[in-house]
Amino acid sequence: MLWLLIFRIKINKNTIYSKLWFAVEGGESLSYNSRSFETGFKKANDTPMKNFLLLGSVFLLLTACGQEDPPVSGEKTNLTLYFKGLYGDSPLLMYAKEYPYEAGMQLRFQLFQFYISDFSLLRKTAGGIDTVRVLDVALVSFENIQDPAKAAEGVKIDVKGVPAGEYVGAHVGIGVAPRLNATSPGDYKPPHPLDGNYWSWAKGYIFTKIEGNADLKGDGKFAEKLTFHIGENPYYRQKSFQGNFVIGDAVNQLQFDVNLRRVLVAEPGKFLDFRVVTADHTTNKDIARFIADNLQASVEMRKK
Amino acid sequence: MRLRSSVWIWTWVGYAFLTNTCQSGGIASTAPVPFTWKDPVGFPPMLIPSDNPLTQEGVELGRRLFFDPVLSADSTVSCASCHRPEYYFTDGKKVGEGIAGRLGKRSTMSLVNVGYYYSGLFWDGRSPSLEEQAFHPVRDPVEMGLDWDQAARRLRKSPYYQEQFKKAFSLRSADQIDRVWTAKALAQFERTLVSSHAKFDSVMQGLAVFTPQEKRGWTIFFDAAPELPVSECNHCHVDPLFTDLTFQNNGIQQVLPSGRFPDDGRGSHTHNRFDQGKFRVPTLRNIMHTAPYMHDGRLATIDAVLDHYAGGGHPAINLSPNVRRLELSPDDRRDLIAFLHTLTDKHFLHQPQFQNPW
Repeated sequence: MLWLLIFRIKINKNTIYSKLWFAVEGGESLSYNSRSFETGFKKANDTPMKNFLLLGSVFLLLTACGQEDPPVSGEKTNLTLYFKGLYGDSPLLMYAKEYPYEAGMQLRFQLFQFYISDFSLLRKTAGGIDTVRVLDVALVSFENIQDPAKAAEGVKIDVKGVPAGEYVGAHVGIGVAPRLNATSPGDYKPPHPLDGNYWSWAKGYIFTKIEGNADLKGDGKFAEKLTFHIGENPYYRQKSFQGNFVIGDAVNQLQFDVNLRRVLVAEPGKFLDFRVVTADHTTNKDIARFIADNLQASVEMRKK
Repeated sequence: MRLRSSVWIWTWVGYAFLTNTCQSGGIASTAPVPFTWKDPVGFPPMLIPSDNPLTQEGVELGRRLFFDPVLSADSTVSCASCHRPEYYFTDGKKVGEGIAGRLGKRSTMSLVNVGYYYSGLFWDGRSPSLEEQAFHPVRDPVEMGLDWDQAARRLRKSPYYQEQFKKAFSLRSADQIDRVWTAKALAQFERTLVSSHAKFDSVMQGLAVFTPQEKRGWTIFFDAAPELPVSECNHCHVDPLFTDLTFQNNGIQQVLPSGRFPDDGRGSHTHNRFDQGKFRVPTLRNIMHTAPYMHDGRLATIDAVLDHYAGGGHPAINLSPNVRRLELSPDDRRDLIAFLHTLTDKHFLHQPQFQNPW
């Protein structure tokens, strides 16, 4: 049973009514007020607490086992990060593939990209967990992933000067870290990840871009254009991954999966409803939070 | 993290004072003098190849070559024939016109700030650098139509160019003059064509203020206020260059029954079907004075451009999702255009170093 909730959203002093941007199927009733940005979106608001508990659990697990520091050679080597895009169980392709969505909609994508910041490796020491930052910022862009072969390889990011050694996890910021978000493209010599994707009017970077088309009517025309651009410091997220790995002299890789469907669908029945909204530039803070939280959840480090 | 100071200067300290004692034909050449360079406030650092640093002699030689029809088959067309200073280095025509009145298929792109373009030049991005780009129009039969070997022979015969090439590049002999040195000189001149003195720039630096109309137009341009309609301009026309240097299908062309476009644009270079119909996002700096618009010059006025974007463009699999139907009132459009006027840099037009030296 579909409960498509329609809410009234007041925008400024003009009373403009629009439908809610997300739909709930068989879910709880949600209240929404775009003016105050206070929301009854409990699941989304629970996320920081969940993250805190998750990180705390990981920390306790890591510090509880073992007494000796693992060897760290001190030698520097190279590390390659691979981000593989998925849509559900399918490889994520730009332009070339159509994907089923909620409520009978179909989607086709042209651009999916997001920044990662302060990528760090975690290593165990006598005093706990040390964080070794190995990368300031990178743009994970699937723009040129247009065929299965490229999708199988994923987006490749080279990291140089990584201390060799044994690690117990990784940590990544999703978005542009606030200290970097205070800079602007003029601060960087191109090509650089931060030489573009900048809102001068907002003095900040666009952390995430999702662009594509939706077929709402099932006519195969994909006439609805989709543009979701998320930025601003409140939508910067961080995530830790647990897993033992060795960075050595040989080819070193860490692989991550990013599931775009998970970005758009928080859980069964709770999704970004393109019948109602097709664009947002972080104007609607709840959409920004929805995408930021879901993107955080969608990134997983692949276990070897 | 900051990778540069606000000012960087090509110093070549010491090198500038070292005399190149190479002798050839009795002519001694000295090292060229570094060209003092400063990126405008807010601009990214310009990428200047290490093998072609800006020098006073190189820039001046490039200017001479740029305005000299010697590089065309019948000596009637120079670079400046299409890239005219008074038109912000475009030509005001629908498409470029070469020797014998031959018409190209695309509109002449403005060269302002072209030194900052690092992701491919031309409408289709087929050239990776200004140095490589210069090879194309000279040999193109529709543009200047001159074989490069012949062009080099002409330059080698000229006492003036013999001297200037030696000064600019410390060449030992006029025999060394070739297309590579010629292109380097042209590239040096083109890198100096920087437009950064528009009212917009003054406002961004706190030296001026927008009128209320310009301010409202600025807000619409940047989609910066939810209470105002959006124009979607800023997705691609990103300041300070007012281009994001990408290639986009803006829906200006209708897809043919074959599935191709009348002009495949970027796709003709990459052979990627999803690049077909895409073109370089052009700068909007001085846009009110660089009509006609679009890659083929089909739109004569800025109003026609706004009409096009308001209509959402012709559908295609790669039509930019940021080209969507707009709901702009006549007042919105007037304000948007008022803002576009603030991108005009009249100071640029009157710079003597950009004018014809002959």
